[in-house]
Amino acid sequence: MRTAFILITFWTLASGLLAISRRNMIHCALALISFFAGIAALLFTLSADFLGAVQLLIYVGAISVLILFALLVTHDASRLGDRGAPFSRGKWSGWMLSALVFVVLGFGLHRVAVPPPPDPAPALPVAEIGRLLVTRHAVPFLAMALLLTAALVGSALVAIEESSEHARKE
Amino acid sequence: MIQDYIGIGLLLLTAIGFCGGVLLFSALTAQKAHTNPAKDEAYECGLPAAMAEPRIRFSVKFYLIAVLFILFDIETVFLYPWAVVFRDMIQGGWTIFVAMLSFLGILAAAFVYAWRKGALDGR
Amino acid sequence: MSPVFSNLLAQPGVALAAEAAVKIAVVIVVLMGMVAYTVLAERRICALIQDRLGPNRVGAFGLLQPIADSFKLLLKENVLPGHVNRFWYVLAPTIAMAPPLLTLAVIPFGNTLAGFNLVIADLDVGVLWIFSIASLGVYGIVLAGWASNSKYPFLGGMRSAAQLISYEVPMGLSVVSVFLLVGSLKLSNVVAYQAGTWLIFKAPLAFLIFLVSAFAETNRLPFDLPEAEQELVGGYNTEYGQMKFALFFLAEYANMIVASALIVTLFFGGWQVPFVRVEAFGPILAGALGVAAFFVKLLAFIVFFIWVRWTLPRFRYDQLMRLGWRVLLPLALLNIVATALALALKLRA
Repeated sequence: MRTAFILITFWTLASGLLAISRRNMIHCALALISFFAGIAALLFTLSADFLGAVQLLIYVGAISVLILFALLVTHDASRLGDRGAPFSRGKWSGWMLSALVFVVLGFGLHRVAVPPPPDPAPALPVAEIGRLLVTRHAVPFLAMALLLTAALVGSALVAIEESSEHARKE
Repeated sequence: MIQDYIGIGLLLLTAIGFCGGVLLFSALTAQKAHTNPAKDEAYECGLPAAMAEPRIRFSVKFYLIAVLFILFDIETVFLYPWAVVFRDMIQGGWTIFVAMLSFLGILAAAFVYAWRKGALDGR
Repeated sequence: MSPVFSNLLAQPGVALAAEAAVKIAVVIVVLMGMVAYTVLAERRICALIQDRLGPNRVGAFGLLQPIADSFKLLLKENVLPGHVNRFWYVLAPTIAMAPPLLTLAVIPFGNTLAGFNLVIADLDVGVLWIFSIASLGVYGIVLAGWASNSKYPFLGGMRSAAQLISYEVPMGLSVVSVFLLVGSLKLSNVVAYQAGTWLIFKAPLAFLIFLVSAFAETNRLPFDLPEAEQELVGGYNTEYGQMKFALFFLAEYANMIVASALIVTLFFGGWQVPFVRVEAFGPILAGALGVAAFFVKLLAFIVFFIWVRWTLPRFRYDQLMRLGWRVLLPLALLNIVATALALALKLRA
């Protein structure tokens, strides 16, 4: 399991690097998908079956689809990169900032004594997750429903207004 | 447990190997491609390719469908563990039923809003 | 057996891997054989329905036709059109083929045979695994449409993606009522629960929603809009040829077979043999009968899929979207609430 974990970590890091360094936005999005899939695989190696499957379903199967849709329905988004990526001006400050974050996080982790994790990691059964969801975590659970509702209402507001205006013009 | 992961890992390798193998093998057995300018053009029912715009504009509703999809995907994911413990927990009281009913109720409001806005017309 | 070999097998990991490898080999060979002959069955049944003969010249009853077809595809010209994004163009068929193979891992195709569980990986999150892997199927199609750099494939790919994600929701929600009854996501538990009564009799509405969504998810008529030959020239795979096209074709049929297997497992008792107590025949025969029962049900569903395809006309795109979002989704939600309420009243009585 540990070997698999290390191999998948490298895969994930490589995809992440590709996702931020490619010029073509579609390529970035596809690298991001591979990154999400890597995270899912990492969760599977940590015996978090449920979270791994959820990561696959939500991030790889749904959120990435949204990102791809947004890129593909936008005219010429796929060729944006060929004319020079819009964000490349801040490239160096971006790298420096992320290096700084890395150092701070690494320093923090180094200071905290983390007990060695058991191998293989203990599994949390699906039923236990369900139990916690409606008892201890019931309030965040419902708050999240509100958040999702707000997200949908917001996007419907923006999208539909625009399309009805468009229809009136034609 | 570990047995399951071995199975899945091997199956993943097999799937990649199978597809890669088929493509490689077929590249060996295939006829050499005879290229000509017409073959390198996108399919356009015989019209000159210059007349065809490969990227078409899409309705913004595609995007909205994707948002709705994420919303209900997340809802589904939460319903699964809930459904699994329902049998055990309902004997202790109605909390589990009420919790999920309010969750569904809040999301149903979003759904009704999207419906009234015409996001589900399919046009 | 040589001592080196038996020593190697004595290592716990190696023995498990060997067991898994044998199962995978059997499953893949059986699946590919079924795909080949499902294609033939489709052509013969279609011909029957349309009062024609169908392919009957290669071998007896045309039984060698799939082999002839695969040789033809292998020998075709290997075109890589100049206008495509080469890397993603070649990768797309592979991505389309992987999900049906990976979902097979958790479907039990029998109980036990000679002490081995007849499932590759009986995950605790079984059904969730299937849905998460199936949700990746959309990428093969979107990538093919995008990488082809051509109008019709792109249009077909986008439409197909919208259709796939729209029907994933009712499909995922419909099985919640199954989990309410069974109390587990594990497919072996779902099958064990159906020892007495099949779930189709306890959750008929869930089955109906699942069935309709399965047709849409596998791009079969009446939901074959991604291809819609008459308007989209074949859809996302227009620019593909040779084995790259064949992989899409295989993936489509593999998807159909996996969907049938899933329906059988969730609603029709999986490998349970109805009316007969197979345990009385001894473990080996009981296991074999279980496998046989699973395959008989599976074949029945495959024939049903084909029958529907050649009977019903195609939906229009807006009708398709409305059916998914305005009919199936609310129905699935109501079904969940009703099932939960009924179960609660029954258990608390």
